[in-house]
Amino acid sequence: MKRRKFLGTTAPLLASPFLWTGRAAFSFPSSKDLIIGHHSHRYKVDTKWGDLDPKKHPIKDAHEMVQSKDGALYLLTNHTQNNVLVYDTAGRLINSWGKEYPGAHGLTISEEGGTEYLYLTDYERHEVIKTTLEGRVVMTLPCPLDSEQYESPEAYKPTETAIAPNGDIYVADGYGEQWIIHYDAKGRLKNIFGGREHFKNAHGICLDQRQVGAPKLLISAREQNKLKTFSLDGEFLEETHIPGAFICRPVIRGEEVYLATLVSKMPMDSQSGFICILDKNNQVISVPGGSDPLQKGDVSRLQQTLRVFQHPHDVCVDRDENLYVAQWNSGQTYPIKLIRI
Amino acid sequence: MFFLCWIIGLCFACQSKRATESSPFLQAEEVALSNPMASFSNPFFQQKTSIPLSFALKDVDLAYMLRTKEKTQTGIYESPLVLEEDFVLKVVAQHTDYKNSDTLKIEGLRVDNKKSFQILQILPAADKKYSEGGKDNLQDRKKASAYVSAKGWLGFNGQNVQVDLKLDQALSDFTCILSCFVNQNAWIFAPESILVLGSADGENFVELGAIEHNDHSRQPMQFYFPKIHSHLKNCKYLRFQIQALRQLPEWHAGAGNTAWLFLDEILIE
Repeated sequence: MKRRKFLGTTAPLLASPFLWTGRAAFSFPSSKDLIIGHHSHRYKVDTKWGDLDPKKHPIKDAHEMVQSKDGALYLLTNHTQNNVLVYDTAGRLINSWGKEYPGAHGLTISEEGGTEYLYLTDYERHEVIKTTLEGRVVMTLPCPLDSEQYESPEAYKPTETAIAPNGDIYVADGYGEQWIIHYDAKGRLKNIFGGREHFKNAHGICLDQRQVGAPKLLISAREQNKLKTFSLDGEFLEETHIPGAFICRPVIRGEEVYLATLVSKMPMDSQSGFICILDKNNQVISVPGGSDPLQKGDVSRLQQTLRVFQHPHDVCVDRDENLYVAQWNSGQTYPIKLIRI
Repeated sequence: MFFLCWIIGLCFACQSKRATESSPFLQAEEVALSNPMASFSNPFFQQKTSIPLSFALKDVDLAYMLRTKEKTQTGIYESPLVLEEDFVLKVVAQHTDYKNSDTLKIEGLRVDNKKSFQILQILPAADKKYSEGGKDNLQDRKKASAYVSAKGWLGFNGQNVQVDLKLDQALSDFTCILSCFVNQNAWIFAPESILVLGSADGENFVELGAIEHNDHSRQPMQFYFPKIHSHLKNCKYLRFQIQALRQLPEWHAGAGNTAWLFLDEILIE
C-alpha cells in the first residue's frame, strides 16, 4: 500500500464531530507544507521519496538505513526478495541484493582500512553477518556459545552492532538474552556484559565519540525508555530516561542523537511513534511528529501530536542533515524523507 | 446568493488543489491529529470520577459528546468533566490546519452500586500465564491495567469460555456487563459472541440475550464492555458462554495463530 493512500484510508470518520461543534464544517484549511519538529530541528516531509514498484522491490518491515561515503543510502528489510535496497539521495534505486536474511534487523556501516563494510544482524538466523557494500559475505559471527551465557543458538537474537575505531565489534542481543557481546575485529570473543540486570530490550547500540578522546557506547533499553551509556570495557556509566518513548537505536550526527521512537505510552494505541532528537547533553530538543519537549520543560509529557509516522524504527541522517525514517509494520511502506529547513 | 457561495467555494477548492499539486511535500491538511489524551486509566470508579483531557499542540479544540442514562451533552472541553454515573465519552481533536483526530471513546462504569454474586465455575481454567488472582478477578470490581502481564486478567488462548455465577439476591430487569481487553498487537481480540443464560434454580436456563462481534479489523488498544439487558424475572443464576476468536485474522502479523481472549470483570446492574 502506498503511504499516501494509507494516510487517506486511515483518516478519521469526521462527520459526527462536525455536528458537535460546527467548527470544522465552516473552516477552509489552506494548503501548506507540513512542518514537523521544533526549534533548531524542523523538517518538511517527503512521503514519496524512495517509492518503488512493490512487485519488483517489495518491503516487509523497513528496519534500518545507513549512508556510505559516496552518498548512497542502504535500506535493510526482512523481505527476502531483496534484503537490501540501495538508493541515491533523490530516492532512485541504484542496486538491490540479499535473499538470505529472513530476520534482517540491524544495519551498521563501518570504514575499515579505506573500505566500507556493512554489519547485518539477523535474529532468525541468530547471526551477525559482515558484508561488502555489494553484499559479499566476508565474516559471520554465530551465537557466542563460548561465552557460556547461551544454552542454544536459538536464544541469541541480535538486533544491532557498533564498531569501535580499532575494529572491535559490539553486538546487542536485544531480542534475546540482552547481552552486549564484545569481539575483536577478527570476531574473537573479548567480553560479554549487560544482560537482563541492565536491559529490557537492548535494541540498539552505537559508538559515542562526541567527547574527544573518551569513546563510549550508547545503548537503548527500549522497553525501559532509557538510553544507557557504557564504557568500551562494559562498565555502566549513566543513563538518560525519555519517559514514554520506546526508542530504537541511537544514531549520532555531530553533537545530536537521533532516535526513532517506535511507539509511545500516549496516546494508548500502537501507532503513536515519533522521532526524538537529543542535544550534546542528551536532552530532548526536538520531537518531529510529537509534542514540543521544551514547551514546559517537562520531558515526561512527550507524546505524538500528528499522525505522520506509524512505527518509526530507524533514522538515517545524511550529509545535509536530512532524515530518512525506516518504519516497522507500516503497511510495507518505503522510507519517509524529512528535509531539514 | 447560492451562486456567490458556489464561486467562493470553488476559489477555495482551486487554491487548495494548486498548492497541493505544486509542492512535493506532505501537506498539513493531509495529516490527522493524534488522539486526544485523557488522564483516565481506570474505567471503574466509586461514586465520582473526574476526566481531564489534553492535547500537546496549540490551538487544538477538543470537541466532546458525553452520554449518560439521563442525558447527552456536547461541547468544547474547557475543564475536567466530573461524572457520578456510568458514561460514554467521545472526544475528537480539531485544528484548522489538520484533519480531525480519530474519535477517542472512553467508557466509565460506577461499580459501587452494582450487584454482588459468587463465581461458581469458569470452564476451561485460564491459561497459567494469565490467571493470577483466579476467579476472584471477575468479581473484585478492580479494573486490570492495560499491561497484559499485570495481574487481574484471566487469559484464554483460542478457547471458548463458560462462566457460571450465583447472584446474592434474585433480580428482575437487569444488565450484564462483561469487561474485555482488545490489544491486537499482543494477539488479544474481542470475543466473537457472548450468550447470556439465566435461571431461577441453577438447572433450567433460558436465553437472556446475545451479542455478536464480527468486526476484527484493525482497532486501537481498548477496553471493551459488551452489555446485555434482561427482562427475566426472579433470576438467581447466570451463565455466560463466550465464544473466542479462534485464529488471528489474515491482516495480522501472526495470522493463523490462535487469538487470546482476556476477561477481567463481570458487573451486574
